[in-house]
Amino acid sequence: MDVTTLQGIISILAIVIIAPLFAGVINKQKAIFTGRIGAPILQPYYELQRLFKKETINANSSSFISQISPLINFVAVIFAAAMLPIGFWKPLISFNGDIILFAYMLGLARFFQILAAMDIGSSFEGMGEEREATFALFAEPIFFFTLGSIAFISGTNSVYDIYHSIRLDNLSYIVFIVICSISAFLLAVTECSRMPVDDPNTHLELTMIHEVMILDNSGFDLFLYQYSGYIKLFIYAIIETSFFYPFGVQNYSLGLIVFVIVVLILSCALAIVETITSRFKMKNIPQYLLFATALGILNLLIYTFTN
Amino acid sequence: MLLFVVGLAFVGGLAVACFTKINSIMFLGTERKEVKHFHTSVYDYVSLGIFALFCIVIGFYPQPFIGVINKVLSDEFVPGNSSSALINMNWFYITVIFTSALTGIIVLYLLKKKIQNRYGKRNSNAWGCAYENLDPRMQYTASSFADELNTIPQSILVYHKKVKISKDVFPIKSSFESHSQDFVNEKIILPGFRLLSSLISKITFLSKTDIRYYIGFILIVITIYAFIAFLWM
Repeated sequence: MDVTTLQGIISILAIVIIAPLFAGVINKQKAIFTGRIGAPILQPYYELQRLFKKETINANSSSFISQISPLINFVAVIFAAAMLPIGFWKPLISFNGDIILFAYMLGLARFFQILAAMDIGSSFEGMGEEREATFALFAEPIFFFTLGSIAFISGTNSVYDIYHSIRLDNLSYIVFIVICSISAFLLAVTECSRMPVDDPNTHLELTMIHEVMILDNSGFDLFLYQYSGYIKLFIYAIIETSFFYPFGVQNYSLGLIVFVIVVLILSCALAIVETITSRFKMKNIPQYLLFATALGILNLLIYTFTN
Repeated sequence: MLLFVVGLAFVGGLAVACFTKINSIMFLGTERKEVKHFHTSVYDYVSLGIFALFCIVIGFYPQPFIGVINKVLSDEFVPGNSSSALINMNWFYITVIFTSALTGIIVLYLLKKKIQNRYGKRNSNAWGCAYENLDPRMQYTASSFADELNTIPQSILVYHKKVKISKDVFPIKSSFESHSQDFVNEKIILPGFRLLSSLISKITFLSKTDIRYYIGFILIVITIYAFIAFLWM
């Protein structure tokens, strides 16, 4: 096994192990900002352990789709995570055109989650998957106008090469990257069902999006859904963090330090946003997503015309 | 270029919405009405199974199929298109990745079975928010699924809803209808087909049941071809 493959394996293992901790750190900061002690930062691990050991209860009307969807969802998210670089290490999966596979791996995970929600036959899940499908439609262009626009400028199609093409040597490119990171942040908030799009802590069926889709899952199935949710959140944190690698960092150890610092800053930003904002009305969420898309389009246009 | 990218991105999202809607409404949940006479023969399974098998083969081993598309694209339609990502991508990676993903799913499935054997597994009614008489008619419909998606571009789709709410104590007789018109279908495609249909109806006299007419047509066509060939020579 060569060093690059080993680095790729270590990267994906790190993502899988650290992902719940990232969620725990956000929750802890949220608690502190709202004047509470809050749960320990390892709480997501305890919850995963609890779910792992619980009895699995399936709805009477559910078919094999509900059985396999958590598995496909989890594996698809893991494979998407395996395409992301940590520091300057090459990811386990990296080839020309992997940016499309990355987007569609996350799409595959969402596809099966929606199918599983419909499979239950309950109107609550129906409501959730309808919202998920609608908002996914508006979230897709944001991805293509953040990572996609950097790919367009750099002329590369691999996630690793896209991030390593970032050279902050002129002001207009710095502005371009900063706005890309803002668009990516808005996308992360939507895709990971965070405030102000969705409230991960709410348990009111009529207002939930992601949580209502997994309302009838329990035990190991819910463990997989929750775990893939944590990994997905961490994936978007890595996407966001990767924009900031090139600030003069050119070796592994310093790159990792920058990675940790930016992830912590991002967790703090998420916690602040979730503390000071309230949820949008459902009908306003497409406008919010279209705003992020327009931001991405304008960003690309301005950069292209000024260079 | 920019419009194409935006369009392509929206198409991806719409595809997820569309496929989940079709798949879910057709195959998932429970039947709204009991199906009394439904028969599927072995031939149905075999013929659909062949299509499904093709989908699986193309998904896991796309190289030969992509090769054909690339050849057509680069040789016939877009000469010198060899720089496109479609051609430069090593499609063998897709085979390796999806085979690995399938292996991962199988391993995870076996683990799930083992864990369920240890910690238990049972079936129960779906969550009804304290309402226990859940009925298949209360499931989400295709219209409900697409309602929000249809509402956003409702001026283009000419989407309208008709809701009648009964004023009785128990609004059992209430009704809901939703319709959307496809602008392209209604204003462009169907008028075109109607025009074509009216033109074709003018030559229906050629369609006779008497076999002598057909022999006559064949002779006329052969004569025309022969005349063209004579001029060509």
